[in-house]
Amino acid sequence: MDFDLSVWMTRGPYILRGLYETLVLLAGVLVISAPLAVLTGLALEARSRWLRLPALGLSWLIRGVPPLIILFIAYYVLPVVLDIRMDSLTAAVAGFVLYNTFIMGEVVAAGLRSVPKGQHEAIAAAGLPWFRSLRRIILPQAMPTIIPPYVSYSMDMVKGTALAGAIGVTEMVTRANQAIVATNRPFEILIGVAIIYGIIDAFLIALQMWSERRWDHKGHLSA
Amino acid sequence: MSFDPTLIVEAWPQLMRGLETTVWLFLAVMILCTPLSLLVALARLSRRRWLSRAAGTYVNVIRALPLLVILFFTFYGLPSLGIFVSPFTAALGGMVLVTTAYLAEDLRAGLMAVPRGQFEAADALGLPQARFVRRVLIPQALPIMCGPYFTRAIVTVKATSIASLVAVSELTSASMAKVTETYRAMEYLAFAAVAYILLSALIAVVQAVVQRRVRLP
Repeated sequence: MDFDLSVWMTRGPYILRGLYETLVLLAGVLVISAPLAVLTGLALEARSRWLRLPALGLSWLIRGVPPLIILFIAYYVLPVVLDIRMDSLTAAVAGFVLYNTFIMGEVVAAGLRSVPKGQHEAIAAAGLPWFRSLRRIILPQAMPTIIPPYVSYSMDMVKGTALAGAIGVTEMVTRANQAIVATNRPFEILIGVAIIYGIIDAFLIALQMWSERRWDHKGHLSA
Repeated sequence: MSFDPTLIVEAWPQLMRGLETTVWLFLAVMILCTPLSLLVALARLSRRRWLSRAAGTYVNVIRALPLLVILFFTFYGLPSLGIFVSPFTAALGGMVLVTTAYLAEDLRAGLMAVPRGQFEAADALGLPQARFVRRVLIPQALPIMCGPYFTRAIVTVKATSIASLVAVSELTSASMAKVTETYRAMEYLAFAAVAYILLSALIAVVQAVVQRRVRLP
């Protein structure tokens, strides 16, 4: 077999245009699901049974279903149930946000659990308001536990965006697939795509290293 | 919007055949991956630099790639090398490649959790390496490995759905075939979702049984 990268000269621009969909999808999902994940994490750890049990049940359901099935449901079922029109990119964002919120919610809940009990007791004893103590005391201490799994699930999300092609989002892998069918050059095309994913992952690893420096293991913010 | 369960009953044989393929794919992946990933994990812990480097490179490269891209490699790439295999075998090969890398990391964490003193004691006693691994290291690592191992199994059973995108007619693709045939999405996708949840629940039950058996005295 000969290895001929010139296929990237002709098909490259077409494949790289898919990077737009890939990145919009990734950014949309990560930005929207981050606050939702914090709320889910708080609900999972809530003292009130009315918050905790529905959150636990939903989390178990959503995490038990493959993301591909969730995408199909978001694309084929959601518009019928809600009686709205949705393009495939919106449906993909909606489906992944749903999935990611509960995955990340569990990560946040685990982080909250890692904060020593004495901290909660001290907050109650000092009579600090709930929101401020959460922002100033609990979350900063939970951060070192939350960041590593949070980043590694974000990397899963980078790779998960490839699934959106199944509901018609023309992201990078879908376009690469079309180029493979057109040129019958799978190795050259897929290796190029692999390198691009490696670069996106490298950015996330850099982000993790930066944020781990920012929140050291004692939960102090360093300048 | 109505939910018509009779649709599922009518499509039962096709859906069951899809479910069967999903289960076989999952079992084949896990059976092949378990010993392979243990070898990779041991290689990563090896004192021989080239061996641990090679294993580390394999694990990190594979984990940076989407599963779908790797399945495209085995699905399109192998035939262009002149190796013709069925879609099922291509998907199986790709999934084994990926799951071995992830599972190796899970198992490595378990092996590393065994106290350092155990390694030193084995060295001091001159215990042969293979016997040390089999008699000392693995029995102590098993209870720690158990949780991550079964978590990975649940991730894998859900990941088999991606094989539907490379022409394997498993549960997801059987359900989607009925969706395109009947234009009724809710019934078949709900069936698929419930089937996956039941499979994960079943794995969780197996985990509970195994975990009780491997507990250290």
